[in-house]
Amino acid sequence: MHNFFQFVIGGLGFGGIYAFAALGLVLIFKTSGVVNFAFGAMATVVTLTLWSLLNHAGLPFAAAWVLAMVIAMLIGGFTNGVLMRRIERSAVLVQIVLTLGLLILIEGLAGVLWGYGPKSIPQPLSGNPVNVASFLITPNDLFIIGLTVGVGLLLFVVFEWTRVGLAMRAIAADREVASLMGIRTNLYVTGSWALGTALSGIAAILVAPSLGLEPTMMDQVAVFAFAAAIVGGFGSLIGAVVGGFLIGVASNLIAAYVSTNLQLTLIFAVIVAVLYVRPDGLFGRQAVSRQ
Amino acid sequence: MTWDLRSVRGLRFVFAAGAVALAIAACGQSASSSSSGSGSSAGVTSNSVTFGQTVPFSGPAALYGESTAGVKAYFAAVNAQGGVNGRKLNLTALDDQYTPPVAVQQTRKLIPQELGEVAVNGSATTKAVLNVLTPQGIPLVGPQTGATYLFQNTPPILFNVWPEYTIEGKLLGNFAQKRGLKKVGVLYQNDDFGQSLYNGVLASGLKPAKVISYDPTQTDFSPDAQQFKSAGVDGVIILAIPKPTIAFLNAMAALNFKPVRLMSQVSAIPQSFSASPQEFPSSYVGAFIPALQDTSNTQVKQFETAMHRYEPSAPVSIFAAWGWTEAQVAVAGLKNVSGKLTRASYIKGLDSVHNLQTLGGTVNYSSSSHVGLTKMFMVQARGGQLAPVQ
Repeated sequence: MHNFFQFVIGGLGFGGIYAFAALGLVLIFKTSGVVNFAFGAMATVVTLTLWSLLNHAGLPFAAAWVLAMVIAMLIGGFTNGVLMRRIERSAVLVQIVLTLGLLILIEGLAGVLWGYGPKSIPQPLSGNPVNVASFLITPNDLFIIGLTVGVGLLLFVVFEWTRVGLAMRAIAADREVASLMGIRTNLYVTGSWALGTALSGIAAILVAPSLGLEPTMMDQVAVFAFAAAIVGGFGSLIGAVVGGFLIGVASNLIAAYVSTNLQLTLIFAVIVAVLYVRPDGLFGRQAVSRQ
Repeated sequence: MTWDLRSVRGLRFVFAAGAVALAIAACGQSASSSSSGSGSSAGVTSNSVTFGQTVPFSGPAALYGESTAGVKAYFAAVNAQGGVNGRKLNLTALDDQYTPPVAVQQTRKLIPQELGEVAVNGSATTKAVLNVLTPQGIPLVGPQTGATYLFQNTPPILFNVWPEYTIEGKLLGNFAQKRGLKKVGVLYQNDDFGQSLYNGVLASGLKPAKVISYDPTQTDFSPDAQQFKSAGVDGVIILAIPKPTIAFLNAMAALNFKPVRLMSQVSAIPQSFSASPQEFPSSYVGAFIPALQDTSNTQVKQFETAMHRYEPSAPVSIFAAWGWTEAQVAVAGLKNVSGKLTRASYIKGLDSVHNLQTLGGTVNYSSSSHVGLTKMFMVQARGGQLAPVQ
C-alpha cells in the first residue's frame, strides 16, 4: 500500500505539468473557440527563449522567467492578432489546419535557431527529495503542485467572480452579442491567447528539466494535456486542473501495475469510458440551445 | 458542408502558411556539395566521387545528424591529400526526419547522383532504405545501427560497421557481473533496438532482478524508477535513446535513488550525464569509439584535428566520431578499386577491406562476411564526458 501511494504522489508532479498545459489550451478555447494544436511548440519556444536568457544574456533565473512570460504573451497575442483573427470566422477545419501548420513551422524554426540537441535548464526549486509522512517528494514537485492549484483557483475566481471573467464568458457564449454589448472582444480574445500561451509556457519550463529541452519536447506532453482537458470537460478551468492531476496519477499507476507499454493506450481507454458516461467531461457543462 | 468566401480565403491563407512551413522543413539542413554523375557510373566523374546519406537533421532524433560532420571532415582530410585515385570525394546529405517514408523519398533523390551511401542513421530508416538500394545493387556502408536484422541474411550491398547490438548488451551484462552488482534492473525500449540489446544482456548469463520495457512515447519515468527502487536493485542497465534516458535519470534522482548506471552508447551524450540534478557516482557506457579525451590515441587525435580544421562549427561529439569511422571504411573500399569505378567494382573493393584500423576499431570484410566491428569496451562518464574506466 505504501508503494501505491508513492506512485500516486509521483504522478502529481507530472500531473501538475499536464494541468498547466491543459489550462493554456482551455483558456484559449473558452474565449476564441479555437483548439490550438501549436500550443506545445509555442511553449517550447518560450522555454528555449528562457534558456537563451539564462545562458547568453546571463540573467538570474527569476528575471529570465518573468521576461520569458512577457515574450510568451507577445507570441500568443501576435499569433491571434496576425494569424488567427484572419480566419476567426472560417470553418473549424481551417483553424485546425492552420494551428497544425503552425506546429510544424514553429518546431522547424526552433530547430534551425536553437538546434536539436537537448539542453538543460534548472528546476525552479532544486534539492533532495523530502520525506512527507514517509513518502518521498521533491521540493520541485511540491512547487509544481502548489503553483498549479494556486493558478487554477486564481483563474477560476477571475472567470467566475470578476467583470473581466464575465466579459470572457459572454464572449464564449456569443461573440457577436458580446460585441454589441460593448465588450471589446478582440482585446479579450487576444488577451486570452497571450495568457494561454504563458500558461503553456510555464508547463514547458517545468517539464524541461526532466525531459531535456529540445524543439519537439512538448509533443508527448501535449497528448497528455489534451487528454486532461478532455477528461475535465474542454472549457472548464477547474476541470483542466483536476484532469491534469488525474491523468498524471492514472498514467503512473498504469505504468506501475499494468505495463508502461500500455500507458497511453489505457489512458485513452479511460477517456473513452469517461466520455461515454459524461459526454461533456467531468466538469463540462452541457450546451443547451433553444429551438 | 458549405464553404463561404471567408472560408475559402482562409483556406488559401492556410495553404500559404503550410507552404512556408514545408519550405522551412525542406530546406532544413541539406548539406550538399554534389556534382551529378555523368561518368561511367552514377556519382562518378573523372575527378570526383559522390556519396549520399540520409540522416535526421530535424525531428526527435535530429541530434544524430551531427554524424554528417564526421563524414565531411574525413572526406575533406582525404581530399586535402589529393582524394582517392585523383578523384575528390563529395557528400550529399539529406534530412530524413528519422522517418522511414521520408528516408525512402530522399534515397530515391540521391540514387541518380551517388555511387553509394554511407552512414545512414537509424534501425527502421535503414531497413526502409535497404529495400530501395538492394534491388538496384547500390552499396550501403556503415548504417548507424547494430540491429540484429542487419546481421541475418545480409544483402551483398550492405557493409556493417557498428557491432551488433547483442554484443553491446552482452558487454553491459558481463560488466555488471564483474563489478559484483547483486541485483540488477534492466530498462529497455520495446522495439528491435531495445530487444536486441536486452537479448545480449541475457546472453551474458545475467539474471536481472527487475525488467521493465518502455514505449518511446513515455514521458514520466517515475513509476519505473520507483519500481527499481522497490526491487532494491544496486545497478540499472539502461537500453534507451537519449530523450527517455534523460527523463529516467531525472526520475531516479527525484527519488534519491542512486544505483550504478550502465548505459548503451546510443544514449551516450553529455546531456545524459549532466541532466540529473544530483551527481551519480557511477555511470558506465558500452562503446566502440574510444574516449574522445584520450588524445594519446592516434585515431582520436586525427579525428579531433580534422574536425577542428574542416568542420570548426560542428561539435566534436561521439555522433561525429560515428560518421568519421564509417567514412574511413567507405574510403578504404574505394582505394581498393583498381579498374573502372562502378557500383559493382566498389562492392568488390569493399569485400577486400582487410585489417583496416579505424577510430572505432579493426574492420575486416570478405565476400562472405560483411560484419564490421566486433569489439566493444566500457567507458566511464566523468565530468559530463566519456573517459576510460578507472
